Amino acid sequence: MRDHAGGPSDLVGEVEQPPGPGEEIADAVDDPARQELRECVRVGGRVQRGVVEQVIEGQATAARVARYLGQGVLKARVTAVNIDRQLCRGCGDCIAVCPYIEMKVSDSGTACAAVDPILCLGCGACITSCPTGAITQPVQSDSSIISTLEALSDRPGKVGAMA
Amino acid sequence: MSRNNAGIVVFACNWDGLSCVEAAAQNRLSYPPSVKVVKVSCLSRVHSGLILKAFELGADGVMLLGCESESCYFGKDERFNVKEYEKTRGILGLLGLGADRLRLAWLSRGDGKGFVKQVENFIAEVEQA
Repeated sequence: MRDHAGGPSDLVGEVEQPPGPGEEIADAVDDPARQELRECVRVGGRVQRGVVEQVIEGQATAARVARYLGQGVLKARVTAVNIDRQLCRGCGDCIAVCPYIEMKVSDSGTACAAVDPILCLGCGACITSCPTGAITQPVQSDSSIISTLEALSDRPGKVGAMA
Repeated sequence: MSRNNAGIVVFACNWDGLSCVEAAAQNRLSYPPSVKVVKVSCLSRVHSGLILKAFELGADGVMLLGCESESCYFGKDERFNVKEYEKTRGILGLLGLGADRLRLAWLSRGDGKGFVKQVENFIAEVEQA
């Protein structure tokens, strides 16, 4: 059985641990000779990130993934769009603007767009592209944006107008 | 409310566009009170119907404020915005309102000064027209 009488501070330094990824980053950041690793340079209109920046971004992505995987059950964002199967005529305009919408053929043989609600980020580009109004969003609907516009307008007599 | 300046509706995207508006407030920059900011998730959400509705409700000019294409949160190319923008400009020209009453601006994150400058330039142009 292990003796803990000496306290935790005595145990530090007994076993030499290999440096973790976080320490390597810290060393690279502190080292003035490795300045190029953390510099972000603009190459041809695009920002090229330094190695340190990329590693930090990767760790942040891993943390975000861990948050989702830790839930057990994945829930769609509240901003995810809904596609009305009755109104969709299968033109495919939404597929051109969104990588998360795909075309599916129903049992009756009609094509209909279907969105992956987990992947949908809720940008709303598909709503703009849809000619039939089949795509709706629970938040930020057309009517709610128009209500905001009405509330902000100077016209008297409107409900919620700022006089 | 007195209308000293032309009424401008700004559709600001939730990410870089809105951060410019917030940065202007945090840096205590002032812009005319006739500028109304409407938050949308992305500029690609704003279609011509919403822009024309803003004009119907009395706006003298509409500005679309979004992210630069390489920093778009949704990884979108700016051509999505440009397509709808050009279409709406055509409609405004046909209606006789003038295509210059609609402006598309891309600003980098937190550029409060840039936002105030863009808005003031736009108001000056709309008032001259």
